Amino acid sequence: MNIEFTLNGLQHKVTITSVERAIDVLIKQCGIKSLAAECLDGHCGKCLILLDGKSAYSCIMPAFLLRDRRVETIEHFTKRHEYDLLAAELHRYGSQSCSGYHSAIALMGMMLLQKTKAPQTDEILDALENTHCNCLDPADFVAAVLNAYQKLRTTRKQYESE
Amino acid sequence: MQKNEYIPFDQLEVPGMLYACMIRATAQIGHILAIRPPALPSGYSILTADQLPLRNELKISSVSIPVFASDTVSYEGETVGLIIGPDPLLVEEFASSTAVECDGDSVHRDWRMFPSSRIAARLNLQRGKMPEVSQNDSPLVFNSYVSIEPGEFSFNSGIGALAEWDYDKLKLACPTLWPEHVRSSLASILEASPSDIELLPVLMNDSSEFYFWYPSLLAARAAFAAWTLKRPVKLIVSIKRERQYLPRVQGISLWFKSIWSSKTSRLLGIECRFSIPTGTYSVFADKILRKTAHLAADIVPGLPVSITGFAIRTNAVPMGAIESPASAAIYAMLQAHIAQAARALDRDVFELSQSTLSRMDTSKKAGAPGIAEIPFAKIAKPLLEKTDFMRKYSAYELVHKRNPGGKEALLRAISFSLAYQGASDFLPESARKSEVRLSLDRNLKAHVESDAAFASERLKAALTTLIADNLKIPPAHIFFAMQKSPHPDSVPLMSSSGIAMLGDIVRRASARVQRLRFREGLPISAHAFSSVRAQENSTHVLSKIERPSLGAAIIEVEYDTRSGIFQFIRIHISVNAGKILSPLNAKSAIRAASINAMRSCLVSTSPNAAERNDMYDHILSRSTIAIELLDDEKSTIPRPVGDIVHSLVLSCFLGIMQQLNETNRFILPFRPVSATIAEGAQQ
Amino acid sequence: MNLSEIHFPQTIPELLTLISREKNIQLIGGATTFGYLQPTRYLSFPNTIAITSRIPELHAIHKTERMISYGAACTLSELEHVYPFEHPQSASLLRTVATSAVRNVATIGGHLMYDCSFLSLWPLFACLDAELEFRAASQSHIKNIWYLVDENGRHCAAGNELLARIRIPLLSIDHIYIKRIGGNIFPGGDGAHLVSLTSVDRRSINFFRLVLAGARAFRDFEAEQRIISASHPLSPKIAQTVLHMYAESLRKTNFWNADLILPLIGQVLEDLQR
Repeated sequence: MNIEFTLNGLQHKVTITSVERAIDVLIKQCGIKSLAAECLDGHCGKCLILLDGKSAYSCIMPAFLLRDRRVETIEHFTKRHEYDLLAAELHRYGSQSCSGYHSAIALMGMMLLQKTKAPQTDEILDALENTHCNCLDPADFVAAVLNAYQKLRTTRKQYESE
Repeated sequence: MQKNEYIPFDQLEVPGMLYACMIRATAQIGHILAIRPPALPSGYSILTADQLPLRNELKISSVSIPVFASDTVSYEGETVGLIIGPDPLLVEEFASSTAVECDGDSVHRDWRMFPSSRIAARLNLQRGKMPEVSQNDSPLVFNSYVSIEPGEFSFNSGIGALAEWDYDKLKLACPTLWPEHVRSSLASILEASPSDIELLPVLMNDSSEFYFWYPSLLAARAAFAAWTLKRPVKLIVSIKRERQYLPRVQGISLWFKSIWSSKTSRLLGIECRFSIPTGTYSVFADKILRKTAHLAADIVPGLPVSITGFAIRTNAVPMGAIESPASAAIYAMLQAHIAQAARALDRDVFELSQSTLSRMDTSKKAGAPGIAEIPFAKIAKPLLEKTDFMRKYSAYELVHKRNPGGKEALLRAISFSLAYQGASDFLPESARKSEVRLSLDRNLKAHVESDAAFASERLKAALTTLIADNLKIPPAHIFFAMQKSPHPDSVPLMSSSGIAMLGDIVRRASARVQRLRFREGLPISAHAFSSVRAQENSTHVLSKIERPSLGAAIIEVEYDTRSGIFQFIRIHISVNAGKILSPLNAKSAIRAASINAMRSCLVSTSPNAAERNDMYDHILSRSTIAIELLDDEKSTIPRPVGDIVHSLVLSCFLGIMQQLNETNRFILPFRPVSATIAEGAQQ
Repeated sequence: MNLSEIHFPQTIPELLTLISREKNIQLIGGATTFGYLQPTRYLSFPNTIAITSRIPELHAIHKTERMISYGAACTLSELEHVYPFEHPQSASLLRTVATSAVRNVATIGGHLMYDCSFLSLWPLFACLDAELEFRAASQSHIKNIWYLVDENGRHCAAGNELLARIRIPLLSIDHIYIKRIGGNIFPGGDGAHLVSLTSVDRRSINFFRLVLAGARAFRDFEAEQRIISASHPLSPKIAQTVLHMYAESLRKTNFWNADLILPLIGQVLEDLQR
C-alpha cells in the first residue's frame, strides 16, 4: 500500500507492505543514515525516532503505523543552534556516549530542549533510558540538558526583549 | 558528539549486491540426511558445502573449522549453507524455512560434569607445596564454589560480511577488531596472497566486543558465495533471530580452597579446579585457561598454588573471550576469601587484602631483584575515606550478625576490592606485533596507516587527540587508513594490551615526526612498531608483574530479601592506568565495563529471547557509578584496563553475596527467585 | 511471510463491521509486542489488520466524580498523570513496564489483552476492580477484568469482541504495595507482580485487594472479605488468620512458590498492622 508521512519536515510518499518494519522503510526508501537495526527488540535504542514529537523505537514498529504521522530523526536537528549547544554542554560535563549512540542520545536531548516547560530530572532520565548507552553518566546528561535548556531560554528571552 | 567517518555495516551497499542468509541446522545434530529448502523463485539460489570451489576448512590457530558443515552437524545451529538472492527479507524467510534433517546424535551440553573424552585442553599449574595441617598452628580452610553462565557478546557494530571479487582480488567489509586475522586466514583458505585481499574499514562502535575470530568465518562464507555467483554478496546475520547460535563469552565452574594461618593471619596457599565450556571447536582454549589461572596466581607470588583447569567441548556454538568476567573468577574468589578470613580472624578487611595481595616476595633473598610491592594503598585509601567504607562496613556487619539469614526486608551490604592487570597479556602466539606509519604532508595533514583504522570510534578519537597534541595540528586534519602491507602478526584490537600498545606506538611515531619537522621539510613520515614479549611457559608463573594498572572498587547495594532484588547499586571505582589518552573516553569505557560486569552478575542473558531477564535494566541504568582516574605523572604510556573492571566488580559482588547470606556457593547470574517457582508455574 | 490487508477504520461502527466480516483479523494499537516478540526482520500478521489509533473514541479519557474511563487505544504514557498513576508507587510501576519510547506507542488495551500472560499493569487494574467495555456488532457489554481469567488462572481470549473502554471506580488508596518478583514478564520468564491496595475509612478497612499475576493470576476472595470491615490497624490475630488462608489457597491452587510469596503477603499484612 502507499502511505504518506512527514519526515524531517518534508512530505514523503512510500510504498510498503505489512511485513516491513518502520526502520527498514526509513533507511531504504527515505535514505536516513542515522538509524541502525541492531537488536530488533527495542533494546539497543539505535533506531530511536521522534513520532509526533515523542520518542519511539522504529525497529519494533510496523511501517504502516507511520501513515500520516510526523517523524523526526537526528538529521532534522544537526544544523540547528540547539544541537551545537547541547554537544558543547555534554562535552563540558565530562561524559561521553559511545559512538553507536551519538545520534540516539542527541535526538533525546533535542526532544527535551524542544519542550515548553523545563524538563524534570525524571523525564530526562526516562529519555536517556531509551538509549541503553552504558557509557554516558546519567547525572552528566541531566546537567547538560538542563544547562542547555537554561541557556536557550535566556537567549530567546533576550531576543524577544530586543 | 563526533561525526562518524565510516558507514555503519548495516547500511553498507554496493551496486548489484545480493544478500545471503545462513541455513542453520536447528533441530538436530549428527550426520546430515537432507537439506530441504522451500521452492525458490528465480534469482534465488542455495549454496552448500558440496558446491564450494575450494577447501571447506578455515584454520584458526591449530583448529580447523568447516566453513559449512558438510557431512556432520556438530552443534545446534551450525551453518550448512546459504540462501542467496536479491531481497533481504525473502532471503531470511527462505533460510529460516529450510529444514535440515540429521540423524540426531546425542547432545552434550553440560560442562560442569564431563567425561575425559570431552576435555579439549587442560592446564596444571603447580607451585610450591600445599601446607599440611599441623596441630600447633591449626590453619583456617575455606571452600567455595562459583558458577558463571556463558554470557552474550555485544555485537554492537552489526555483524556480517560483504564480499566482492574484482577478477582475482577480493574486497571485503566486515566488522572486526582483528583485521589482520581476517586477511591472513582467508588468504590461506583461498590460497591467495594477503595483498590480494583488501579489507575496508567499517564503523566500529565502542562497546563492541567483537569475537576475535568469528568475523573471519563469516568473511569466508561471503567470499565463497561471491565467487560462486560472480556478484557482490552481503551475508546478513540477525542478532535477534540467530542470537542463540552466535558465539558467547565463556562461563566458568570453579571450586576454590584457601588455607590461612590463624596465628599470623597470612594466606598459606590456594588450590582450585575449574572447567570452562568452549563449545564445539575449542579455539584458543589453552590460552583462555592460562589467562584464567594466571590472573590469580601472579598476584600471590611465592605462595603455594595448585590450579587445575579444563576446557570442555560441548555441542554448542564455539565460545571464548579474551576479557570476560569468567577469567576473573579465580581472582574474585581469592578476594572473597580474604573478606571471609578477615571476618573469621577479626582483622581489618582492607589491611588483610593489602597485605595478602601486595606483599613482597619473601621467598627471595634480601637484595635480590624481588617483586616490588604493589602500591595499592595509594589508590585505595582515598576511596575508603571518601565512601566512609569502614564505618558502613562494620555497621552492616553488625546488622547481619545480629540478624543471620536476614529477617529485615531491606538489607544493605558493602564490599571492597583491589585488582591489578599486568601489561603482558594473554594473546595468541601469532599476534604479538603492531605497527603504525604516520606521515605529515605539505598541507599539514596527518595520515595514520595502521590497524587503528579498524578500531572503535572511541579509540580513534583518543589517538586523534594524542596526535593533534603532539603535532599541534587540528584533529580534523588527521586521517586513518589501512596499512598497505600490514604486519602479519598484528594484535587484535579488542584486547586491552592491543589498545595500550597502539597508544604507545602512535605516541612514539608522532613524537618522531615532531622532532623531524624542525630538521627536514615536509612531507615527513615516521614508522613505529612494538611487540609484546613472549609469554613464559604456561607452567611457570611470571616472576614480575610489570607496570601493572591498578584499581580499587567499592560497591554498595540495598537488597530486598523478600523479592530477592537488588534495589539500588552504587559503585565507586578508582583506576590508575598510566597515562590517560582521553579522560572522557577512559571514564566512559570504565563505566560501560562496570555495567557489563554487573549485568553478568545479575542479568541472565539466556539465548532464548523470551527468557531474557530484563528486570535490572531499569535499576542499572539509574545506578550511581563514580569513577576516579588517578593521574600518574611519571607514566608516559597508557596501560590496559580491560580486565580490571571485571575483576573489581565480580570480586565486590561475591563479597556482597557473602555479606548478605554467608554463602559459599555463588551461582551467577544471581536469580531473584528459585527455579522451582518457574517449574511450579508450568505445572 | 504473509502479506496482510491493512485497514484504518475511523469510527467504531466501521471497525465492528470489519470485525464481523473478517474472520482472521488482528486489531493493532502500538504493535510493540509483535515487533518485540517476532524474531525475524519481517513481521507476520493475520490476513487482515485493523489499526485502532484513528478512532477518536478509543483515545478519550473521561473522569467523573466516581470513576475514570480510558479508551483502549490510549498509550501508556497518556495515562501517566491520571488515576491511579498519580500515586508515586503505581507511577513507578508504569515506568518499569517499558522505556518511554515503548510507553509512547504501546496501548493500554493491548497491554491488558495480551493473551500469553498477565503483563505488569494487569494486577493493579485487577485490584482496582476495573471494568472492561466490550463491543460487538449488535451490542455492548461490560465485564469485570477477571472475565479474562480462566479456571486455571490463565489468560483467556475474549473472543471476537472489541475492547473499547476501561472503567475504574475512583477510590482513595491508603496503602499500596507493589512488588515485582522474578525475571522477564513475557512468556517463558518467571516474572510476576504482587499488588495490594487498601482503603481505610474511619479506622476500619473498607477496601482490600491482593492480586498476584504473571503467567497465571491469583486472588483469594475469602481472605479479602475477612479483612474488609476489620478495624485498622489490623489486629495480629486477624492478620495471622488471613495469612493462613492465603497459605491454604496458594497451596490448593498450586500457585507458584508459596514459600516466596507468603513472606510478601505477610509484609502487606504487617503494613496494615501499623
